[in-house]
Amino acid sequence: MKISLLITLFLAICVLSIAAADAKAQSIAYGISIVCADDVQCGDVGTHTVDGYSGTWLNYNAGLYYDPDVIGDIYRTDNPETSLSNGRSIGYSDIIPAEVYLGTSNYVEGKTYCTFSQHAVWSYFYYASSGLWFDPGRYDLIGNGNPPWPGLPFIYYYVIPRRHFLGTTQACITIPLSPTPTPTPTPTPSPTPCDPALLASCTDSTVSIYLSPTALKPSGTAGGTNTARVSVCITPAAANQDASFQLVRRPTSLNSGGHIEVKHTGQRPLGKLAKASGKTGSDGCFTTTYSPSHISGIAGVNGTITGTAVGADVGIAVPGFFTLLPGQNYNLVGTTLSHPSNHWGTPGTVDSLPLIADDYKALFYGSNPIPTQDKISFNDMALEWGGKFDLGEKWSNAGHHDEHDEGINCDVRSANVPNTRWNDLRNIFNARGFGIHDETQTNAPHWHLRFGVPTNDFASVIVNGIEQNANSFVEVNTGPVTPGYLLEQAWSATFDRETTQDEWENWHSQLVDAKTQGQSPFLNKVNALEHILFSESEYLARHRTDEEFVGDVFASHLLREITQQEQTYWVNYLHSLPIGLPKQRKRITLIEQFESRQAFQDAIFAVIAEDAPPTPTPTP
Amino acid sequence: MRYWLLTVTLALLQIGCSSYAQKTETYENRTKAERKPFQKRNLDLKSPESYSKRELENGKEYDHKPTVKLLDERAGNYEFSWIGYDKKKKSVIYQREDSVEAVVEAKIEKDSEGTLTYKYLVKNLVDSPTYLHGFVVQTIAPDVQTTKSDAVFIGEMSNFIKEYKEGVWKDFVVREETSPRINQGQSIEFSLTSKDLPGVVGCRASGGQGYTIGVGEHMPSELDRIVPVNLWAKGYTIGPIASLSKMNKSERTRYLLESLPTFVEAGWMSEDTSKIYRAILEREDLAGALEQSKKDLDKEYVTNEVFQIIEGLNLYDNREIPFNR
Repeated sequence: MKISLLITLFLAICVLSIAAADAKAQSIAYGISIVCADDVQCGDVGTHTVDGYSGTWLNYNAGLYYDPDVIGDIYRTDNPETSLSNGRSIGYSDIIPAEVYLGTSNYVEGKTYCTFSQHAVWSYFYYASSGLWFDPGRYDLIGNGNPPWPGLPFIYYYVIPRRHFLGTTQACITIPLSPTPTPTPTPTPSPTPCDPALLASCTDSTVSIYLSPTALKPSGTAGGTNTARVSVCITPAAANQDASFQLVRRPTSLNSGGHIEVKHTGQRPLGKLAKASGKTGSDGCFTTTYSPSHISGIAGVNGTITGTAVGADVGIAVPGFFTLLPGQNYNLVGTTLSHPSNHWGTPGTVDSLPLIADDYKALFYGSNPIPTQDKISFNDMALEWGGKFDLGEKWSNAGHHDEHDEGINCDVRSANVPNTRWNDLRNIFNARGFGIHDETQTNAPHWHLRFGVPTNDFASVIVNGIEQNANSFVEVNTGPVTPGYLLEQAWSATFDRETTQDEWENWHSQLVDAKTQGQSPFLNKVNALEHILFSESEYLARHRTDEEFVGDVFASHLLREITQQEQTYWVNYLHSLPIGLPKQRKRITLIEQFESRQAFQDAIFAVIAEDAPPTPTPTP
Repeated sequence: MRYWLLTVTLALLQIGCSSYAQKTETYENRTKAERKPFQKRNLDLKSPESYSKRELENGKEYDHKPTVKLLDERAGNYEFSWIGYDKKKKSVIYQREDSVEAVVEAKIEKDSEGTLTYKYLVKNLVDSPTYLHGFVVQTIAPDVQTTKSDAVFIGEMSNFIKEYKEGVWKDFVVREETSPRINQGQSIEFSLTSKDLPGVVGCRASGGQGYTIGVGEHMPSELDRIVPVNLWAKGYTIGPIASLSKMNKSERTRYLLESLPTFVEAGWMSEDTSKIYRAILEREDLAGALEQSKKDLDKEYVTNEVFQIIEGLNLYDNREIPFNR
């Protein structure tokens, strides 16, 4: 392979407009995007990989008040909606830049790849009423006030960090086509299969890795004893070849799962392999099982046969979390540089916590505003992908926050709640569905809350975005719902037209066949249909807004119009997904979430088989 | 001839006696109504069957032995214990809130403007193992009002919880700062107002503290997940239901017919009494049901809850304001 030295670098400088004490001094942030392929400087010569870098750097003045933040993403211009690699990083002042190293083995000659970076900073607001600064991890510059946690010298109790988006940078590279090879005589096909003993001579052999499933739950969570089957195989099949697996950290795994690696001590645990090495079997494969660790994130698995290595990634996460956004009547506290986003939870938990704050404010302040320092302070919930919330920043499964791994817990500080209100506040916790473990008399006084509604139960109630008792699937349709009816509704919702004859015949027969095989095959088939429709260029060309999109999802899946409450819920869900995810990926994620809901499955299970399919009216 | 006359006389006498006996069975030999106490939940709390060993900061593992031990079945007391990071036994006591033994009696009063005041007298029974903590009642009407009181915390259960998703469940809790505890043998009255008619609604009662006390380190997750949340005793009472006033006669009759099993389950009438009402209602005779309930209330064959539901549905039929009695 000819080594091509190609590097494209784009540098953007953004001058922040900061209303800070030293407004005269110039605060500058640098946004950087780099992309390279088979490049010496990137260190990937001959690897046939595309690598990228996204960074946000601050100068001294900016670093006094801000921390840098960057979200990086590599994509191919012919398929811009699919991220090949992405990540996020939050740095520290001007000392540690926010940096994301990206990489992908999707290397296709003639294609153009871009690193797209979103640059931001986190600011810390000054509150004149308290005279305190947000100061996570730094020593209190002001030196007054009482730290909320005894023994800790910094103060981060009275203020809220806020993210300021600065802009984006992008760098692109096109992989050159290889020179046209000199024609050579067609080799005579070997009369016998590749001889395993002479494997090196088997020029056509390929090594592949298979990993299933590619998403697992972290150990320690419900369902966390799950494992993935991983195989590395050589084709043509050759037995008794040396094979091995290695667990590796890839650029994509950096900072994944809500853990900022530079702020942790030690190395992220990657899980375990039942067997790390062995010989291939008669099928040419060496197979073992992979068990995830207690830490969520992305783990790389490389498989090697006779020196040829291939890789696959496994995502370790508790799925379906939402983030608790800032609210009027509560403070979000406890953000640290090691875990910058600590308020993730199940939909029920995230939706219920603000109601606690609203109830508390209404009970004790009526229609008057509640002073910031009096607001309910929600501390750690769960990390973005759940799993162990390693408070000690050592990746350890030891220590506190044993159960902040499934998105149903939240610690509420008691220090700013007068004792005379504790009983009432406990009553509010209960009424809003939380169990209470009272830690107010310990060194870190707080209430440990646990949302007591199992996720499965919650999936069937109104706040999960689908109203169960209003306009249910069967009620809104006058006649029986058949596969044919389902098809026409799906086409109408996505493409705003009827099916053509070919489309109808093709999909109708597939749905009817799946229906005869049982509920699960039918559900899978409907899911596949919906995914295809919403990914079709015909749908994308309609340029639907997020509000229109969730309406389309309802019309297509539940065959009814969306309610205002449902629209708000699902649009919020869409906006809660990581900023770095391409739009289409977010939408597919929403569809997957939607399809996991009981209401949708009930609707699909209610579809009846049709004895005599109606004649479709194809579009002329 | 004389023999024939005697036979006829005896036969007539037998018919008369038989008829009298039937009447007696219908009106006199029924079981009297007796409200049933709130029901405990069917839930066993047991030690986790499998769990992962705990990890220490040095990476070593140890068996922290998470255990759930029943201390007192009647009182619903459990000990949740484990070996802490400091190698000492940690122990948290949990009392089931549904262990309270209580009963609720409801009555309705009407003011001159037609507003109904629903009054709930919750009695903590003499044998109850703990004090009464709170009472929750379902309302399915838009105009429900409660009066703020220093003695009682009044809130609403989240309809995010499946159990409480229908209507608004008003939550009344005795405030310990300002009110004495409702101990065994004592009772407390909660109230709310609405203009809507009464129907059968759900209610809950809770007893004891309702939360666990920390011991300096969080409970292991496998134990934390076992501690129930809002495990409150279940019951029925009457509460405002807006849809009742929109029902026609046939729908109201059907509503009552469908409610009969609940009346029996709640102890508001016996099974044999419900058969009498079923027969009356199957003829769509709402007025007959009201007459029957008046008599039965006097003789304690039905409770006030049954009478007031039937009265409301009857009187509203004539566009009169109910509850003039």
